[in-house]
Amino acid sequence: MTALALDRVAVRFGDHVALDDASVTVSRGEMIGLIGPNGAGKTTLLRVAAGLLRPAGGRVLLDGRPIGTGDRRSRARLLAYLPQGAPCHWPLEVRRLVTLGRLPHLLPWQAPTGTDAEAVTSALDLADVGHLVGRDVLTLSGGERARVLLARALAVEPALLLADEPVSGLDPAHQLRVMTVLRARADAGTGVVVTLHDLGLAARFCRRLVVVDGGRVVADGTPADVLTPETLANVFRIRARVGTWQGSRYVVPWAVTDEGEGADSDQPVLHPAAAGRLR
Amino acid sequence: MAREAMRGFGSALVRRLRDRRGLGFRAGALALALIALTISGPAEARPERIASMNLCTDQITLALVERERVASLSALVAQADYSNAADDVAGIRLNHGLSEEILPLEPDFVVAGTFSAQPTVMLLSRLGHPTLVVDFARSIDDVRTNVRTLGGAFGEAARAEALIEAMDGRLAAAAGPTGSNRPTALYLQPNGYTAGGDSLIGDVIGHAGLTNLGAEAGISGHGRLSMETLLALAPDILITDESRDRAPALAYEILEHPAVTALLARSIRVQVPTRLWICGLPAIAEAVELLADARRRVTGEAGS
Amino acid sequence: MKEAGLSRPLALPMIGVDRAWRLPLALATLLALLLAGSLFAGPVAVGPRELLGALLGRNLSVAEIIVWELRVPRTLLAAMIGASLGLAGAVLQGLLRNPLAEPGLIGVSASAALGAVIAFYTGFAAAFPLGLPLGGMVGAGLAVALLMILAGRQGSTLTLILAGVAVNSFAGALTALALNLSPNPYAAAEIIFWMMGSLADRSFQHLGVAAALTIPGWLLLISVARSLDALSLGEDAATSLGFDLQAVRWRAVLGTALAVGAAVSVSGVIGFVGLVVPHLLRPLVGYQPARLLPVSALGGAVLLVATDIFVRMLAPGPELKIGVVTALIGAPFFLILLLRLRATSP
Repeated sequence: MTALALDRVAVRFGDHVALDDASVTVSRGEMIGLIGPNGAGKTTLLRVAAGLLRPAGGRVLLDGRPIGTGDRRSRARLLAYLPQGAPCHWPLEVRRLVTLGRLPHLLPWQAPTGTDAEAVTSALDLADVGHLVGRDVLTLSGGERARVLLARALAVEPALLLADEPVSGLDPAHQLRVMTVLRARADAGTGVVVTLHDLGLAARFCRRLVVVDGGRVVADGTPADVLTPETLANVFRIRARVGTWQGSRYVVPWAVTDEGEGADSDQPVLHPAAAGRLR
Repeated sequence: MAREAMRGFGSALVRRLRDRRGLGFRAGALALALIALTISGPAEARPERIASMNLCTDQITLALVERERVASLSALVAQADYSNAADDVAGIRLNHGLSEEILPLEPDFVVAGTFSAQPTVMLLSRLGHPTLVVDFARSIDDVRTNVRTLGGAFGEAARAEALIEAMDGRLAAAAGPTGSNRPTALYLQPNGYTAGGDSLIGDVIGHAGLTNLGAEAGISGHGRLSMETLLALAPDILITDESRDRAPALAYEILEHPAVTALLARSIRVQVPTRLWICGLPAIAEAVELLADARRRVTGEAGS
Repeated sequence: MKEAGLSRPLALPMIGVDRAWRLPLALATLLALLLAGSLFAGPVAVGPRELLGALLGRNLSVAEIIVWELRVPRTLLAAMIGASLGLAGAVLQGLLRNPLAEPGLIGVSASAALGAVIAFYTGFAAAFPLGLPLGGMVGAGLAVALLMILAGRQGSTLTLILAGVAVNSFAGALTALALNLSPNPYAAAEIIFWMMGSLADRSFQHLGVAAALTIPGWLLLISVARSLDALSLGEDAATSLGFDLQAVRWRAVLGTALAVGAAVSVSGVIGFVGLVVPHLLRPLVGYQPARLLPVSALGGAVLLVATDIFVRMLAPGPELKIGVVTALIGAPFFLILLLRLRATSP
C-alpha cells in the first residue's frame, strides 16, 4: 500500500533548481535508502516528503490526500521526521526529550498518559538507550545522542519515518545499531526513508534505493539494480568494489573516477565512459 | 567709582542657588527678592532705559515706572499663565535673555533675577551697564524689600511705598483670627511637590490664617511628599495651581489620582492662578485673599 | 540548591503533592505572603488591625484610602507586571532558543515605552483610556516583529544582542525626542520614569487598562507552551510534530506585545525580570520550556512584588525607581549568562 507519494515534485530556491520532476512512492513496511552526492537534493526531497517544504510544482500525497490539507496533528501522528544532525537546544533529560515524540498524540493541555509512557519506554528500548533515561542529553556522546533523537522519532509510533542522515558522524558500531533499529521498524510495518552517504550501509540495510542527482531521481530499485558501476561513476564519480556477501550487497568506494587506480575487484569495474547518464 | 563698585557687587551676586532649581521649584524659583544691593551714588539716579530680564522684575518694573522708561522685558511677561501684566506689554520689546537682544537697546539699567541668563548678565555688567541681580522672594517680607529696592533704584521710592501700603492693607483685611485653632492647608503641585517653611507660598498660606501642613511635614522651601504622607496629612484645604488645558504630562496624574479625589471629597479645594504667586509681587495679596475665603468656608466666619 | 531552598520549608505539608506541583505551589505561597506583606509597606504606618478594617471598608478613613487606592492597586500591578515580564521572557527564550532573549535587553520594552510615550503625550491616551496600553502594544509589537526578522530563525546570540542594542538605542532616542517635543515643561523630566520604571502612585485605573490587554496577552503566551517544547528539537522537528510555527510565532509576538506593551505603558521599563526569573527556575523544571512558563510568571510576580516592597522600605524621601533595583540585580546575571554562553559556544 502506498503511504506516501511524491508526484513530479519541483522545488526552486531562487534561481537554483533543488528538485525537478522528482517522483517517489513509499509503502508501509519498506525501507528506502535515499542516496546521492552532496547537494543532490536528498534533504530537500525528504523535507518535501515530510510536508516541511511546499513544492513549487507537483504534489505530495499522504495516504492519498495532499499532504498540506487536513489536521496537522493527525499528520504528525502518521509521519515522523528526524532532521539531519538533529539539535537539542536545552539540556533536557533523555526521557523528557523522547516524550516530546508523543506531542502529536496529546491534546494541547493533556498530560502524557500510560499509553504514552509505554510508547516512550519501548522507543527507548528499541533505540537501545533505556539506560540513559536520567541523563542530560547535552552531556551524551554523539552516538548516544543520535540514538536518543531516533528514539524521539520512534516514540511518535508513526506509519512513516523519514530520517535525514541518522548515522552521519557515528562510529561503525553505532551506525550498525541505528540501521538495525530502522530495519526492524520497517519489518514491523513502518515505511522508512533514510538518507545516507554510506553506500555500503544503504546496500546492506535497504531493499530499495532511490538515487538523486542534480535534483532529479536518476535511479530507483534494488541495490543490485541501482548500484551499478555506471551509476557509481556517473552520479557519485567513483569506482567501487561491489560484491555480495551473506546475501547482501556491499559497496566499497575505491577511487574517484578522474583518478587512475582501479578497485581490487572480484568482478570487473566498468569504466564509466561506456555508460550513459541514467535517467 | 559708583559704577565699579556696583559692577563688582553685581557679579558677586550672580550666584547659583544650587538646591533651588528644577521644575518642582518653578514658583519659588521665579519669585524674586532683592538681594542686599543698594545702588551707591546719587540718590536721584533715574534710569530712563530699563531692561528687565526676569518675569518678576518685569512686573515690578512695570508697576513702578512709566512704559516709556522700559526698554525691554522678558518674553514670559507676555504669557497670561504666568504674568499679571500680559495685557499691558504690547509694544514693549521682549527679550529671551540673550546679550544680543539687550546690548543694541543701550539700556542705562539692567535688572535680572538669580536665574536669569547668567552669562548675559555678567557680560552686560562687564561692559559697564548698571546691573542689578535679584534673588527670589521666600516670604511676603521679601516682596516688600524687592519693591522698595527696585523703587529706590528707579528713583520711584514713593510709588514703591504706595504699592506696599496697598498690599499691606489687603493682607490685613484677609488675616484671620489669631490663635492656635487654624484650619490646615496643603499646597500640591502637579508632580507632587509642596511648599514648606521658608517659601513664599508657605508664607502666603500663613498670612491667610492657615496652618501650612507642608511645613508641619518638615519640608523647607519646596519638596516632595509621598502620596501616602499627603493623604495622612488630611488637610482641610487642598491648594492647587489653577489648571488650564495643557499638553499632557505624568506630572498631572497625581492630581487626578483616585486617592486624591477621595481626599478631596473630605477637603475644600482651592485653585490659585499660578501668575499670582509664581513671583513675589504685590499681587500676592490676591492669593492670600483667595485662601482666606477658603478659610472662612472651613471655619464658618463671616465673609469679608 | 535553589529548589531545596524554596521547597524545604513547605515540604511537610506537601507530602503527597505531585512533584510537578511543588514548585508552582511554593511560588504561589511565597507570592501570597508577599502580596500580604506589600500592603504593609509604605511611609505611613498602617497596623494589621487598621489594615484589616481598611480592607473590609468599614469607614472612609485615611487608612482605607491609602490601602485601597494606593497599596492594593500598586501590589496587584507589581504582581501582574512581574508575571508578564517573567512569562514573556520565558516565551521569547523558548521561541528563539536563546536564554538572553529578554524584553528589556532586546529593546522590546524600550519600544513599548516609545509607543506609550507617543500615545500619552499626544493626548491620545487621555481621549481614549485604552490608548495608553495600545500605544505600548504597538511599540512592543513592532520591536518583536523586527527582532524576529533580524534574529528569529537561526539567529546567533550575537545577532540577537546586537539587534537588541540597535532597537534599544533607537527607541530610547525617539522617546527622548518625543518628550522634548512636548510643549509641557514637565515632560522632559519624565524620561526617567519611562526609562527606569516605577510603580509609585499607580491606581486601579492603571491596573484596569493594563489588565485589559495583559490577560489576552497571557493567554496567547501560555498557548504556545507545547510548541516551545517541540522547538527544543529545532524548527523542522517541531513542524513535523504537528505545530504550525508561523502561527506560534504570531501568537508569541502578539502575546508579548500585549503583555509587555501594557506593562510598560503603566510602569515604564522594568528590566531584567524576564532574564533573571526564567534563568533561576529553568533547572527546577528540567529545562522544559512549557513547564517553565507558569513558574516564570509566578516567579516574575514574586520578584517584582518583593522588589517593590524593597524600594518602599528604603530611606524616606523620593522613592528609588524600581527599574534601578531590578537592573542592579539583573545586570550581573546577564554577564554571568554571557560568559557561560561564550564558554559553551564559540
